[in-house]
Amino acid sequence: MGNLLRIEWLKIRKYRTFWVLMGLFVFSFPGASYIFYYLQTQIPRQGRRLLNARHYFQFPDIWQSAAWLGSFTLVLLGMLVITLITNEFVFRTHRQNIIDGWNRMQFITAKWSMVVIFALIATLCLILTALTFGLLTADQLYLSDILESSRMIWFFFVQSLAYLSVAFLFGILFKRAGLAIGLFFLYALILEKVIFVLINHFIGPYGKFLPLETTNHLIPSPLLRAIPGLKPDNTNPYIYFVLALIYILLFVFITVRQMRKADL
Amino acid sequence: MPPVLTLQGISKNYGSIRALNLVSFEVPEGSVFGILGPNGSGKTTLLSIVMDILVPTSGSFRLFGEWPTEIQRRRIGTLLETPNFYHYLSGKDNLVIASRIKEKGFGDIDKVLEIVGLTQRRNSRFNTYSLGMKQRLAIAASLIGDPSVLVLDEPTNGLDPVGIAEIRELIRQLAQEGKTIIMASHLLDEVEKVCTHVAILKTGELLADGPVDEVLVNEDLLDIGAADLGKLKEVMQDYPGLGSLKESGNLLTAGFTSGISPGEVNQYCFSRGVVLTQLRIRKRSLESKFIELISSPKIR
Repeated sequence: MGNLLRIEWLKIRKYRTFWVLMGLFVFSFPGASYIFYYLQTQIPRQGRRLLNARHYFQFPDIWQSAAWLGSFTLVLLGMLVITLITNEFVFRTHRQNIIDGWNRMQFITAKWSMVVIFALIATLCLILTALTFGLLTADQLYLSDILESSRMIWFFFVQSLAYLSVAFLFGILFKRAGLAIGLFFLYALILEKVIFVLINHFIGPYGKFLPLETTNHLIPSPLLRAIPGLKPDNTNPYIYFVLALIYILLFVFITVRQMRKADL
Repeated sequence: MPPVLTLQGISKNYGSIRALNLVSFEVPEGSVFGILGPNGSGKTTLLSIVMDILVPTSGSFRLFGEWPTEIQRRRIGTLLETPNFYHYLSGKDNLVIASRIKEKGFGDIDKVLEIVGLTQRRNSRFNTYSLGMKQRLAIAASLIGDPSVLVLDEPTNGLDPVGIAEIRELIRQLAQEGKTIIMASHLLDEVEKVCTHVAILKTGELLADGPVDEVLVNEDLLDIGAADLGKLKEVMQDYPGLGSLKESGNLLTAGFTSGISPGEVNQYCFSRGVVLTQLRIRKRSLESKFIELISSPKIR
């Protein structure tokens, strides 16, 4: 396992695209929170007190705010995952790795491990961002406040992993970077929304259990609570949590089956 | 010692197209084994199956007498079809990855780069390499860890004449060191120059296999002429050990089943009252033999 990861590292450590996308991600993750923090400080004093926008950046709400805002930047990691997978197909190095002495499972394990590590990096970004904003904006610090919503860490890890798994699946299935990234965006931004609406209209309120909708519901927008009259989603958040895990396992299963049986 | 590679009834279908049909043969240890066939005959498909890149529709194979896994593949240096490397990494960094996967040390990298003449460009990115350099890097990669078996698919592809000569010399050297070399080629000349054994494929069918001097028998012919060609023909028909006899113009072309001796033929004819006016050995080229092999229906 250590050897597999070391080889994956050798593949990316001198790859500029990796550093650019990873750098952009690490930079824009806290950046997303900072933009809204800054905007919030620009609201005139009376309005600010009325809206009480500052609490979004204090413990415990900052966990959800930073996770929700940061999740938009996951698209950068999604593109990186697709690029790294499809590179192997384009350069035909997936064949070479196997010719040189990996078996097919080792190839797919190495790649999946990388996806897990990217999800861990994203989670680390969340922890650092939330702690930074939380500590800087705190009026008084109580450990209980800090820990109260820290389940968001787990939720965010699973959300990132599920999101990147979808990207991974698109990379394995479509094999060309442009095609896979294009279809991934098409699915994430349009297709799933269309299916969501169709399911809700014709079958029932189950559209929220589609893969990316599930991960979205895992960490809902903190602003939803501020909108008066909006019916809250009463589904137990752990249902989304478990469902997201099931989706991840399903995508692992599909990609493993694809790699084990197919002509490469 | 078990054969390096044993193929048992390997077939491969792509949809309705049958790329390989029940191919079986053995590659003995220490041989330089040429897989010969025109483009599209299934050479690369066959080697890809052996390397677990493609899954056979039916049939099985063994490596070193064992069921094939990645453990056996690590003992084989392989160059398959095209050089596959990370375009954004240098030649050397690409070899570092290959060494890691093969679980070999990095000690060989400088050595193999030297062998293929890429030492100067080792730190240039792969995508700046010329076609010939890419091919050389692929050959270098196959030499990492000093494997006892090499699988080389069209190893001289993309090389200039000097490069081709160098690689042939390298293959000869490696063979002398006792390595087994499995080489696919559509160039008969290449196989004839370096191989000890050969298998001939045509549209997925194995036409022949065995030692080169058996399969690509270099059968010489004798052109003979006499004033009375009809009489000569009559006389020659009874010659012991005659293989074939054909009329070509004002000459007869005779093939023999065992050895060719113009002197004996001359004496034989003279003793039967035919004076030869012409007597000439004609070398039949391997090329025409090969074309005959692949253009005739199954010969065995």
